[in-house]
Amino acid sequence: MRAAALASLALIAAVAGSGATAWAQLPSGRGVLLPLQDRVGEAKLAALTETLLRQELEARADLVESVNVRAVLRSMRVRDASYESLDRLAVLAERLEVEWFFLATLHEARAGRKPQRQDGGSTDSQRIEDSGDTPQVVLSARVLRSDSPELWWSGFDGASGRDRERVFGLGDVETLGELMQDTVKGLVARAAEPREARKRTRLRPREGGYLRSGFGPSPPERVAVIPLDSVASRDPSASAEVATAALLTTLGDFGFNVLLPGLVQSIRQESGQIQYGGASRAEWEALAREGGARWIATGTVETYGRGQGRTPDPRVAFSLRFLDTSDGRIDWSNGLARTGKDTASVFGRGRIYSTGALTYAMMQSLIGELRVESRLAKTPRGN
Amino acid sequence: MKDSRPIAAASIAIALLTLLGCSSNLATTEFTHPQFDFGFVERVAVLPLEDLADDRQAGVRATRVLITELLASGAVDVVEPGEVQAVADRVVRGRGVPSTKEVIELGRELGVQAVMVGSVTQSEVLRSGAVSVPVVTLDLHLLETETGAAVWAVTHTERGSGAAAKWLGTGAEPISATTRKCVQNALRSLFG
Repeated sequence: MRAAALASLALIAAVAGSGATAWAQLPSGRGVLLPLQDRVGEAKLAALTETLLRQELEARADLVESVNVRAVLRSMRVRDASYESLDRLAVLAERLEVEWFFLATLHEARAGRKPQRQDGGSTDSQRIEDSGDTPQVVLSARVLRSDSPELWWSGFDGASGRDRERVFGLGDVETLGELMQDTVKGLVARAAEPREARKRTRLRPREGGYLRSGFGPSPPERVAVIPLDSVASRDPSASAEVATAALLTTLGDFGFNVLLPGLVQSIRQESGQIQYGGASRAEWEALAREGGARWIATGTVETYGRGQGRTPDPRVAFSLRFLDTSDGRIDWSNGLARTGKDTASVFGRGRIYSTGALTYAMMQSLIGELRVESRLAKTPRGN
Repeated sequence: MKDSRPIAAASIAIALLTLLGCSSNLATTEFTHPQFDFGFVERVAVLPLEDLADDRQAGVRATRVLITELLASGAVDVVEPGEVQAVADRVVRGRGVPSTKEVIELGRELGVQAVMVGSVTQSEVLRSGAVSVPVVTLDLHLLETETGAAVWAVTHTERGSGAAAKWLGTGAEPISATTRKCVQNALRSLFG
């Protein structure tokens, strides 16, 4: 009875504690905004996003002009600096005369049905998928330093035009451009300013998890994230990338030190035995030895998409696991399957409309659960 | 005045039977070795399940869900799938089902007492009018690594929410949810 009460108190303390951290985010010195990684394939929207990011960053940090950036990236054959090794990042920093990089990826953009143009066409390009009656955006960003093997900051946002909906539909954002502006503003603000951790939606796992007794990752230990694999029936690589970006951000949110994705990739390549969908012995030993990683986090996206109907609900399911790099054993595993309606209370308040936002909320719940379970597992029994 | 209660009761019974009929699953076929001590199995390796269905992701999906569910059972430790794949590439060399000799070798290399193998024989969404019903069939075998013998086997078919979900307006469940249920029910005879 007493043990159960103590466990409940530890749970409450852990949950309360998770919301109290504050960080100063953007590094000092000069930085550069690297070209947006556009997974939507819509040049106008990508250009708008990049302009908005630049405006917001310039107001908060010492940002260099981006005139030569593309030329330098092209000469070094850099497509996505997130996946460059530390050595290559150092060369890039030297050539651009900067100390840090800001990278953003536009994962998804879906236009709402309104407003229609006079000629009857949509205001947004046909290449952007129609999502019902509300626009949606999934955007992630990272700040890297050329002299640090860890991610300085990582941010993720899945937004929908109905996130701030009040009674009678007031507060809706109806255009993709307007939603993008809000999303970029929020993301850069979180990167630039000391902040309280974000309000989290708690979605208690119900599928049953596993924690090796007496073990479990806890911050600020260093974690290497191996990109999640995806078995979702539609666009598996995109859903895996979204979930990986949400995981990187959530681990940072909870105070873990996250190894640079580029460093993880280069160490895995050098180990000579990359396994899709997991880590081989050669990989986890190399990540521990060369990257100093205490844990490896990875997982699988099982469902990523939307249901049916006029305002289709997002549906997401995935599982995560943590490997101990000292012996390669899976020390923690858990999974979640949710729809946007699962978070709704009476009158539909709290409902999630975006697949990205649902993924992020689920990721926060799972990592939150991990933190609580790890603390409980490490608490000496009988005290 | 005639008593309408028998008619109402019969209507409810027919509706319930229809509902049950729409969601019923085939009986599970299983085998458990009568002399094998399952308490001996502490660590298990799951080899990638063979995909015999039209759905190209079915094998990977079921393998991933199986690993999570085995871990969630708390009964056994499961080897990281990346490590299993690396060793299996060397030992089994891409063939789906390992020979007895290879099972023993996998056991020695991975430090496991048993290897889980199997296949997804069906993974599809059946449509009847406006109703969609996801159906998944799994065939699983547990091979112990001292002799390579099968100590447990099961074939289970799971039908996802179909007509009932449609009538209640919730729509059909994703195939991954049906796969998860199928794995859970298939493992029920192993872990109780």
